[in-house]
Amino acid sequence: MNLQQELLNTALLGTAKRSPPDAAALPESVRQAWAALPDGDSEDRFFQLSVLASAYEDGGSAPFTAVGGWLPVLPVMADGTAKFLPAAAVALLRKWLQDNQPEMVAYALAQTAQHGFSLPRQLLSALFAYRADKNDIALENHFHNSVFGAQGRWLWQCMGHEVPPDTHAEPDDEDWHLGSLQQRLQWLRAARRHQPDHAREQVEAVWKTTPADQRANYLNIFSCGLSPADEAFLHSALSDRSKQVKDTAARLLFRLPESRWVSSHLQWLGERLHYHADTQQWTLHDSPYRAEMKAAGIDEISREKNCSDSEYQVMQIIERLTLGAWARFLNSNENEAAAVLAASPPLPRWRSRAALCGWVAEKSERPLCLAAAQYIVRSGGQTEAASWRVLLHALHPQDLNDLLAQHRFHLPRLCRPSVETVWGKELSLAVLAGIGETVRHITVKSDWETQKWLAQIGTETALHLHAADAEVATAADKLLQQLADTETELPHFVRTGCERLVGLFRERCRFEQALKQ
Amino acid sequence: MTDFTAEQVLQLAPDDASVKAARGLVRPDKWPLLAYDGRAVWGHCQGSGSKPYQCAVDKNGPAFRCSCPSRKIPCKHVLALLLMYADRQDAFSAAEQPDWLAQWLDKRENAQTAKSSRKEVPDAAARQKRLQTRLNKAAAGMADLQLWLNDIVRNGLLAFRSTQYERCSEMARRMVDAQMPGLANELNRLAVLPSERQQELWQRLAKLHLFTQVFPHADRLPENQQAEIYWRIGIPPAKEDVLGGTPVRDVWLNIGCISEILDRGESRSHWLYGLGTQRFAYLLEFVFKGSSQDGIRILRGAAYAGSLCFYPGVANYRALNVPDEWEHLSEYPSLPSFTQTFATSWQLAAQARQQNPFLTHVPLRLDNARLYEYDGQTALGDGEMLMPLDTLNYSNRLKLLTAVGGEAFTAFVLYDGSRHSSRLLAVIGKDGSLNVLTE
Repeated sequence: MNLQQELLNTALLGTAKRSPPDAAALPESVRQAWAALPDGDSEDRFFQLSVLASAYEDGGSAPFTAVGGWLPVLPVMADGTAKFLPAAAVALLRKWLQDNQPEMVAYALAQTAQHGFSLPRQLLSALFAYRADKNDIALENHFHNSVFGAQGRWLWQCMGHEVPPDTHAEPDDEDWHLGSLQQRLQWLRAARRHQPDHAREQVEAVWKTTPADQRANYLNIFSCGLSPADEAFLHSALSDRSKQVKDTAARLLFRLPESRWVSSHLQWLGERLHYHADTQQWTLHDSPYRAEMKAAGIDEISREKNCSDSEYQVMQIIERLTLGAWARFLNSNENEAAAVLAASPPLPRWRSRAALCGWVAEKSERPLCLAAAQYIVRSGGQTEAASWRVLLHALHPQDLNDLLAQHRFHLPRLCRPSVETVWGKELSLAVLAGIGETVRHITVKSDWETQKWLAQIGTETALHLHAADAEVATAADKLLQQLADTETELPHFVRTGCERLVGLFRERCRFEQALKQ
Repeated sequence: MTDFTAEQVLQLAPDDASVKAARGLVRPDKWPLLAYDGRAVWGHCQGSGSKPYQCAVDKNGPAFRCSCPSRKIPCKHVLALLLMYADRQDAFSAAEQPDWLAQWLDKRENAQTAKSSRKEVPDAAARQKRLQTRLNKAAAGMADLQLWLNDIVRNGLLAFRSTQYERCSEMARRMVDAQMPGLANELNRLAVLPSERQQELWQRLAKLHLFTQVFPHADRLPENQQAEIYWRIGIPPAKEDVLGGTPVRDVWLNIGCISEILDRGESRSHWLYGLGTQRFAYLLEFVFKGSSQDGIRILRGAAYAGSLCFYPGVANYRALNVPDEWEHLSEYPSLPSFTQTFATSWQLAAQARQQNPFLTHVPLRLDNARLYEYDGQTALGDGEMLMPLDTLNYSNRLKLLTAVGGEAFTAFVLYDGSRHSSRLLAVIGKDGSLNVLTE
């Protein structure tokens, strides 16, 4: 036991119960110094000895340890080819981090990756601090190797995080065999892009020993790189124990129009439904219910009061078919099939325009949505506003933009497509005009939903407006001017929402310009 | 004052909410007037009322004024004004001072003149008499403390532990009565020392006992040792006396601030490093709740050209800055590359500790340091020896790694002898910039 420990033990128990260490056991210098000190009572003497022992130990010790066991933090590997984000873009990204604009940060990271830039060192630090501070795990979806560069990868690892996946690199089989579930899913996503057959073989090899929810997760990823080569495997998955797996396999098989699965559905449909191209009419026929239909999950008895059993069976088949399958059924291509379905829906229940909008929006097949919207616009556009808005919402922004360019109609107020992509010029102008129109009529007494929507449009709309067109920029400035000129009392958050929209849109334009320079 | 950078402006903010609010005001359209001259920066900020707020910053101070009703100093409007001035000077125009500003600046100047004219020549005899009265009180307090300590060691720390907080707090109050606030603070710290740190508790009690042994003979000690004892127990020399000492002129870098929560506020030790003299110093500031923050205003990582007067004592780092000779450098000096080994650095620190047994915190400059890791702990090493560091939080670790990038660097460390731990204050990164790692 060392001297300090001896002294501490005495201090813990007290000098009344335990004597201090024997003078003979003290180091020579301590003993001499202690002897030279004036006498006092035993407590004073013990304190003196403790101070001397501390000084003795401190005098000979340094706060250092041997290197053994410790590992040096290795320096960053130099990356001479890295192309760093331009200074103007860095300033904007830094501002969005400071202003806590997660959507703008995510957008900037996506743009950075798309343009092949890496983030400079100081910005990486600000980004990681932001992620830690806000606990924004979603932001990590944008943390890619290309954005990080060598410095970022090093820093990210040194901070104890897992290295972000390299989405462009070919997957390494080791990740599949040795990785966690998340790593396996990442591997599968990458493998389905590069070698879909190899990916399927790996899944097949572990299929029987994999739990049901994981099997469904694996199957979901098959939508990437889906091809007729997957049909046999997906067909076998139709007899899986798990309903989730069966449904996923069926959904994927419907995307293979030439598959056996689709063929049988088309055969059942053909026995019940005929299209007369000359009159553009559909006719329904009765046909016996088959055992195979039951195995495919098609109910025999109608669950709806005003629907016969045979119509109910046809409806179930129709709701499952993709546009590719319809094209095969009608012996045409997808666009023609969409035009036929939009102009003449196969069942009477979808033949009103409002019902057509709802049905088409629910199917959410891009050509079908476009065909239905074109049909309605061409034939005068009279339909119920709410249903029309549902259809426009389901339209792909590019299609909506083209439709606006061809037909010049007013977007209903508060209408924006839901797909997250940059809008075309016409759509951007129409949306800004719609906002302007709404602002013109809004007061503090307007309905709460409209006010709330206007208050929240800022970031989302700013991210989608067409940034490369001067006309759109002018329209955004006009909106700002309109706000300044508005004499009626505008709700405060409506004003700030619109101001934020224009402010962020201008910043986004500057960011994109900086990336191009 | 010179012009602050945006980062430095944020350090002036009283809280995070003010920073957030100020950022929202950094828009020229909110400011119908933005102007400056050699002495001040001012502007009108459009708030929610009909009249805009009048905001101004006196560069000689700095001092802040705003006509808004906020009690925060500086308020969000002033912070926004300074942020705009830091980032968008082109939005400001040179102008003559308006009446409201001229009046405020005059008032400040008059107050300053009145304050300096009030300075009286201290009466040496009266001061000596006051000191003697205080020392007599302290002597009685010391005897009291000695009895208390002896009683603890007689009955043992195990028995003391259950009443540690109450007994230390009670003794601290008695030390306040004996006009020895230095000892009272130490006892307050011991009151809340975790029970698992018993070795440290014992060593610190032994140091307190050492004061009781040395104090009765302090008048026979050399002047610097006497001064050291007196200021450590809480009888510091008068400021005028310290400022009357030999000033040390240098370019001083702020390498970090160590805060300690006190009863009614906090103490802040602003550590400085002299580039020319290679000397460490710290300026001690007390910030009390509710009082205006018109104190030292040392900005994190900033460089100052000026003179420091060190407190008398043994191997002492505490100093006062000579106000008339203290200038914030807007242009950061280029830092030399230091090449001292760890062993040499420690030798300097060990010398200081040998001279002064009461010295607990010793600053060190460690050159050619590299980061080492083991089992989640971080250390600095020069290839031969390693200094383990106190755990760094996420943000400081990030700052450190970003600054050094795994390369060799110079670090400023504060070694705490009572806990045998080392706290990283600042590092000079691979781009030659100083990165302060204290909050």
